[in-house]
Amino acid sequence: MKNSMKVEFDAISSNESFARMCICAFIASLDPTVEEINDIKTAVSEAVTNSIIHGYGEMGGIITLICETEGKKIFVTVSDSGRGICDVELCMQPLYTEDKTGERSGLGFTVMQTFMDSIDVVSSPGNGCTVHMLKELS
Amino acid sequence: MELKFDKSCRSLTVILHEEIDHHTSGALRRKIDDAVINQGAENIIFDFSDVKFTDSSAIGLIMGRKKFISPLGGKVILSGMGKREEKLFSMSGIYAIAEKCENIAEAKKLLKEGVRR
Repeated sequence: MKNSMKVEFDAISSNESFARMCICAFIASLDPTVEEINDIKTAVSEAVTNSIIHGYGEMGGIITLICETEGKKIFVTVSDSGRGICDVELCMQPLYTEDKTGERSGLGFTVMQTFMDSIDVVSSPGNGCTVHMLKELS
Repeated sequence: MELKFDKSCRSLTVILHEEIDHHTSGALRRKIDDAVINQGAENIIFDFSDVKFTDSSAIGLIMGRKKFISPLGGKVILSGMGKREEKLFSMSGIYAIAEKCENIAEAKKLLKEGVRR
């Protein structure tokens, strides 16, 4: 059976947990394992955090979280209309971060890649960023 | 979060609760750094046994604290990790800069042994 949901929220850090709760509630009926729920929650948290910190920063904006399910397949999309990424390949390298505070690990995309089955990042400068992720439940 | 200073191994034990993400890690960082300075702690022990969620912000928090205390030769020890934290931490390579222990007691033992040597 197919199902889908879309939610839009402000790019503020308190909404990171809101986004996690949304995805969690939406996929609950597919009977995922505890580990699968945590993997998807973590990946969503990373994508939303990226949009907040790097996509919008101080200027703020709207983040869209879309989830579509088909059988045991879960497609997650997190998108923003922020600054965008110049070099997607570089940004996806483990430990790469543009953060200057020394408090960010630079592992966001690596976590998404590890915890989901596949990830595709579409972005260019000035055109926001869209992260597509897929996970198939066992 | 609970912060406990132990004089015998000059360590600050940070007992974390609930969720560690970008939203919560900023306030945690400030409180931990203040306590390290005020108590004169040389080492930090993080306890994750009551944590419900972590993402890479927790890795950033640990990396930042290691950088903060390493000029004094301090250690960061991670304890009480469940399956969730273990998956994240082992993929991140964080154990290269922060040692891993079963629990707080074992972490303190490790620090005291280090002092005697």
